[in-house]
Amino acid sequence: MDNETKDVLFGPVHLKNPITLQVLGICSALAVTSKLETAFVMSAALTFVLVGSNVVISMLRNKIPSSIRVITQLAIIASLVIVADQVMKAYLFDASKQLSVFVGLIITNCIVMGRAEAFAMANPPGKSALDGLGNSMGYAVILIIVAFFRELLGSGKLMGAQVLGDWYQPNGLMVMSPGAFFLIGLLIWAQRSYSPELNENE
Amino acid sequence: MEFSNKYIIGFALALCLVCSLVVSTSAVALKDLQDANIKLDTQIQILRVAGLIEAGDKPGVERANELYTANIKEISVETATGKVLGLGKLNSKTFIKAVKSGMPDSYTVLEVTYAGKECYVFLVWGNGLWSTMYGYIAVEADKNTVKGLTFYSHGETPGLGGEIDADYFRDDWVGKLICDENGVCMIDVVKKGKVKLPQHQVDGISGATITSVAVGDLVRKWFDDEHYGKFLHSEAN
Repeated sequence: MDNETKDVLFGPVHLKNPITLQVLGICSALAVTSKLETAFVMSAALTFVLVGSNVVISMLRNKIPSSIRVITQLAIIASLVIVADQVMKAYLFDASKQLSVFVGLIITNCIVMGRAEAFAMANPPGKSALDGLGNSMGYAVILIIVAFFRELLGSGKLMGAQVLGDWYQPNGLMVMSPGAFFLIGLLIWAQRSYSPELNENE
Repeated sequence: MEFSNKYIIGFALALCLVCSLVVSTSAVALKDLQDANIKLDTQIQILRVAGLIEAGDKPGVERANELYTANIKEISVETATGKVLGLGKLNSKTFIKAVKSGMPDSYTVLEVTYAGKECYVFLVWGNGLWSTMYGYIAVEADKNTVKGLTFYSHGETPGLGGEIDADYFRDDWVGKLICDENGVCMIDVVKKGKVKLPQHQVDGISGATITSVAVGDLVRKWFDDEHYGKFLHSEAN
């Protein structure tokens, strides 16, 4: 793997993370992270949509008239989201019930549109697929970390199984959306302390 | 690159065509599987709320169907009097549609005939915070004790209001009395930690007070005299 590929694939996991650095996709990061299981399923659904939309849009990039560029991207993304939703209803019925409206809301996830506009419109399909995968991983990592702490501290469970005993008094704040805000804030802090080059100059 | 207007219109049309083709193909191709999932899920919900299967038990299509047909009788009840008219057929879709223009003259109740676990199961729904919540509520043969409550479809916030189908909330309903000794409907959901009448009140979900209270309201609505109430107040048949 050459350096450029590495950068496209792993850059978004840490140094260009879509959630903690670009602060995109926050809506779903707050909504579906109260349990690990939903975070995993949501990450998988986003990976499918993001890789798919990046590849399709990249293949069409020289054919898309710039005047209807955004609506074209939106139509492609929306179709992929509906397909993902339909597949989940057929094969992952329980998880799709839990995620309810949030699968459909991937359409409005800024990461998908952002990558389409910023990367897929200017790069070949293979590289765009890697970019999609990289950004999905970046999204998934944050979701899973947040969900891990929220489920553990909020209900004393992991993947639905009780891990903390009766002595543990569940922290109600963690179950609620503000809990995710605090966690994401702490993550941003931790990440920037670890890599000071991320800090903006005064 | 500049494109002609003709090209742009052609491109837009072709894109729409391809997208609609993809979407409709996936919807049609997966419909049977989805319907089967929904039917199985409905049966499991009813069996679970009636106590015929344990909470974690997930029977397959055959066993669910067998349990359902062997132990559950669908009876038709007259709304105004609560009298049993005979056998009925519960079609939730048409019933939900019919109720939009007022409660029909009769409705269907699921009577569980399994020895030792006799109870009645009612289809209930109402507005939550974001969505309409659809579920079943089971009432013991004494027609006053709740045996269970379950929601099979809702769009409440996952992890917050979505917890209405979590075990701890469902379990809290078991054994609650709908009416007090004077026949006044007392069952309700109150804000988390504010339970004063443990025989009637269910503890709400923290962080989801609006959804919790809405669940209480919908249960009370369905058990009033305009809806299922007359049947509950009628003597055992």
